[in-house]
Amino acid sequence: MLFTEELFTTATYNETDLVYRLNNGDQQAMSELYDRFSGALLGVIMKIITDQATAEDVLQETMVKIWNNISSFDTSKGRLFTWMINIARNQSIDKTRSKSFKNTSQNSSLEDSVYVSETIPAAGASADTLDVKNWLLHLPEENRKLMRMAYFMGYTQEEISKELNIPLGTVKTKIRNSLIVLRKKLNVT
Amino acid sequence: MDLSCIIQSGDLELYVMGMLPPEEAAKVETLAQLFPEIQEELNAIAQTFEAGALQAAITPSASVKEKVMASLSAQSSDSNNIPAAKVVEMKMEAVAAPVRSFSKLAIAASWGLLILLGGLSAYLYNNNSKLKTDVATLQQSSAAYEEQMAGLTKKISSYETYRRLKSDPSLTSVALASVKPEVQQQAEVFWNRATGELFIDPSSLPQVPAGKQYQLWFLIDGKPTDAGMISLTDLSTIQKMKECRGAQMFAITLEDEGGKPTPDLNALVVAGKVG
Repeated sequence: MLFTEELFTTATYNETDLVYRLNNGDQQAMSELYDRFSGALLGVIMKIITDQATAEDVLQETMVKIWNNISSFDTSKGRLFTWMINIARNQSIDKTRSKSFKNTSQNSSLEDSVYVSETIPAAGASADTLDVKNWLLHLPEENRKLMRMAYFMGYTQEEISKELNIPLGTVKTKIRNSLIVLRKKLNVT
Repeated sequence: MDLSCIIQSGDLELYVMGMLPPEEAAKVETLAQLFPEIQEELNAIAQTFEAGALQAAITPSASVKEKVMASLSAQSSDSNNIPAAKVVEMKMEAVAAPVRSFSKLAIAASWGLLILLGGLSAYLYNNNSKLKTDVATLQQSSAAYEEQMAGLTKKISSYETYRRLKSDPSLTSVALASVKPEVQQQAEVFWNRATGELFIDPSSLPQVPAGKQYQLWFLIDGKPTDAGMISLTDLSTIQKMKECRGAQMFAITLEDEGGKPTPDLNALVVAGKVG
């Protein structure tokens, strides 16, 4: 453990401590991690899988995966929360591509689910009923679709370029511009 | 160091989203370790997704946590069964159960001890060789990392030199284009008319065949003068050439290693007029 301690300099103390304890197989640390992040991770998963029971199964798989793979997380290369979000996304995307998921009629298809979670209220609904939980709604329609494909549907740059019929370079530019908008809206400095 | 082109490329966003191929991701990681600005940008991007996730949080049912914690316990009790200990136990039971006499018990016990010792030394030996492999792997990856760093640093310094030359008002830059319109070869010359200083950026020229070398010329009224040989060892860096005065045109020929006093027109690769 001696040399890993040197790598921990960029992270906050709590995160460092948590990761250290997880690496030592401390189940109490896992319990704390769950209390702190499970809600946010379920939110990410439910952007991809709308059925709550299925989404909770994926959350469980995600947590076990975090526990089993914590040794491959490198604090010098990234942030714990982002690393976990990416595991949750990948686990969800894998799930939507699995046979069992596609065969279950109660699960709406990936396309449907993503659209459902982004339905804008019908005319007449008051502004405060707008789905404030959907942070992608801060983006103009075209960029929202693109970010949804990239972030929640696991499309590659090339696939997005083909699907939306825009050049590869434009995909990158639009992703960056979307992030700049979101940064402001979500108050990230 | 101007990092805006890297920050604005969109690659950092793709990196955080896990959408970059491994080699490009490794490049971003190296850049982030070299430049705090890149690391800050990566953090801001990651925080954006984190803020989005927090805003959209949904509390899971209480039963999920129980299931998660239970599956951790199940896994860790699996891994507590260390093979070495199991072997000894089984042998002891198998031999000890049917016999009662003290000497047989003693023999069995010493067998047990022997197996235990054997198991222990095998375990230690395995552990030791695993550690050795780990160290070797670590050394290897650190060497690869250093190599990558060196390459990158060189690239950055060459880019910086290029930028410095390009923005220096006392230097005239002359693009040398291929003589054949269908071929896209080129080089760029930076020339200080007052002092005669001359630089060449040969990074876009094709690799030379063995035994050959590029030679730079400057022409006054059509008469060529040798401006020096372009170093073979590193075509990717900007090189300082011989002093040059009154040039109206620059040209590069592909000559035998060491060059020639006068150029062969057939060996002409690229040329460009001073604007």
